[in-house]
Amino acid sequence: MRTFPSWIASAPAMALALASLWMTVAAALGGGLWPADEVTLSEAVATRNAAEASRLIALGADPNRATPVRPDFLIGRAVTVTPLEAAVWARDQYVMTVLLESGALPGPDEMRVLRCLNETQPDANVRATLQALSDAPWPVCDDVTLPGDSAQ
Amino acid sequence: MRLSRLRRPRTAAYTLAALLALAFADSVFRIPVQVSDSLDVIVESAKAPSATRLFIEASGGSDSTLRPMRYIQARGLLAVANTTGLSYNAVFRGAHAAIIMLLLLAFVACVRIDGWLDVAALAFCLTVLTGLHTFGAVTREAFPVNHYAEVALVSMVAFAVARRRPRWTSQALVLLLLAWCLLLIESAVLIWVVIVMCAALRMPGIRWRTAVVATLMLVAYAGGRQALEITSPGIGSRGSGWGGVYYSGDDLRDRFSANPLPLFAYNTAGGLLTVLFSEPRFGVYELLRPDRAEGPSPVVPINISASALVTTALVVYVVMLLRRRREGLRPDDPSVIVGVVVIAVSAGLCLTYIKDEIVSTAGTFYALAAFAPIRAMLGRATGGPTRLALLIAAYFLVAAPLWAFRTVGTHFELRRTAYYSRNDWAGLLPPGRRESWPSDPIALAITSRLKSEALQRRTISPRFLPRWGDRYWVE
Repeated sequence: MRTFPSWIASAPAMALALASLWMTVAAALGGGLWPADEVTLSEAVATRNAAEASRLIALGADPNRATPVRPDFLIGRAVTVTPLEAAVWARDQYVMTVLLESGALPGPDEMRVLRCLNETQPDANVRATLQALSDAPWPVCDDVTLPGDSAQ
Repeated sequence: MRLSRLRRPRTAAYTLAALLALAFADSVFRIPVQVSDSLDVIVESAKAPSATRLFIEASGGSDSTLRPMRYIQARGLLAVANTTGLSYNAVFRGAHAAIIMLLLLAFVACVRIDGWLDVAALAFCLTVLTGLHTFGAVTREAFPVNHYAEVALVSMVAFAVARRRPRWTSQALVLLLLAWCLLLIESAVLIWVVIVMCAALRMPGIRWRTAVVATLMLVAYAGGRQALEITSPGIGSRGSGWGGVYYSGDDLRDRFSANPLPLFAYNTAGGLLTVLFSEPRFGVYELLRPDRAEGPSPVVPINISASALVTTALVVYVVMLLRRRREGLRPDDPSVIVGVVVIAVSAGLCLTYIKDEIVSTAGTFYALAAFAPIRAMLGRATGGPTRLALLIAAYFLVAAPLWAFRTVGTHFELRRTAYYSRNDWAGLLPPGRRESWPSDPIALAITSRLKSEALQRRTISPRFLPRWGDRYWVE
């Protein structure tokens, strides 16, 4: 009697089972399939990871300090931006609100930059939040230097 | 365990399922306790002065659902956390992860493993179980423990008990679990369907008197609902799809309350098709979506093809089973018959709206029903004509990788769920706006602790996941 290679039906599941073992063991050691990412505060914001931003702030990260953001997160090259700039750039009002409620406080210069950044990365919700933050009139952005300006 | 035992088919089958289950338990465990559907339940459970009072209050808390055990269960898990000193996340998410592990092991207990061809068929069917979108429904959400996963597990346990020699303790356990689940979620009626079907098919482990007691319990449950004036969710209680569009509950009510029959027929058919062909999802047929500018993403043809291959095998087996019905049932036939009935009844439960969770038990039985035709195909290929063997080989060369691919996709979706669930906590208890915090000290303490635990539970952001994953795995 001819033997059918039944492994054709089961091989993918067997491979998955071995991969599962690796995933579980490696996860316990901090690796595995798709482990948690290591990011700076601005990178957490740029990737819309409000929870990670909150965690980093709780651990002592300064929500007003500019930190590096890797290439392709916001633009094609690395930039150094404040968390609020990253939030406006990512057009994410939720993470922006989390930052503001966790101690981020933009001064007048930073506010101009944020509003002009919103002009280049338009988002109505972010704009409403920026308007509510300050009574100052919306700036003319021609002479405002934005982070990553040369690349835009 | 001695290494030689691994060479036994049954041990190998359980080892295989356990390994697959391990990774799913890990992926499920990574998801923090959710804000939606979970936080309020946990807080209410903790605030009640006693479990009895909680049961009474939860029983009268809604005019369309009777789910007091949701709260009793949450209270029990809180007690475990407080007694053991474990984190809330560890206990609640651990319970969900354990249920998923048990579900996969119970699946193995439901099939006949006598030789290596059985193991091969089981391996394939395990990927059908874990790759089908309904498995996502039992792993992603929690309320705070996924009730649909509990119903699917108990249904599997009932079938596994039915396959074995009768024991009054096993049957009593099944009845006890039925009672528990009926007061947990309405889908538990499917457990009753399994019990009655097993008895009707004269499976050894479930006696007729067990089916009668189960039926009396169901009647008592229905009577209890009537006495408490609890109605079934009507049109508009939740949004659902129609064709290529998802409508809100209000929209559905406006369109169909005058003449609901077309919606009922559409949803029942959709409830069947979503299990058999992975479409529609929540009542929406992806191929009919009017807002689709880029054409269908690959996930749709992948899912439909994978499901169509298994459904075709299942349909052929059912036709052959009907043709040889006078010969009596073969050992694997009951899983097909019970599976088909569960899928049909489950479609009926989708009368007013469709969601993956409602059909999740049907999805589990779909994978179980697939075992018999898959095993039969492997058997026919061995010793059958060469042309047939080649055809079957081609079938598995396409179907097996497709289902394995879908299984990896379930992990992908679980990572995304972990991220979104964790992110929801960031907006709660804002440090700069204490006036928005709950005034109740118990609610504040629990929310604060759960938020802290969720934030400590680091997850990957979708930005770091493979970008093509969205197109190939997320619908």
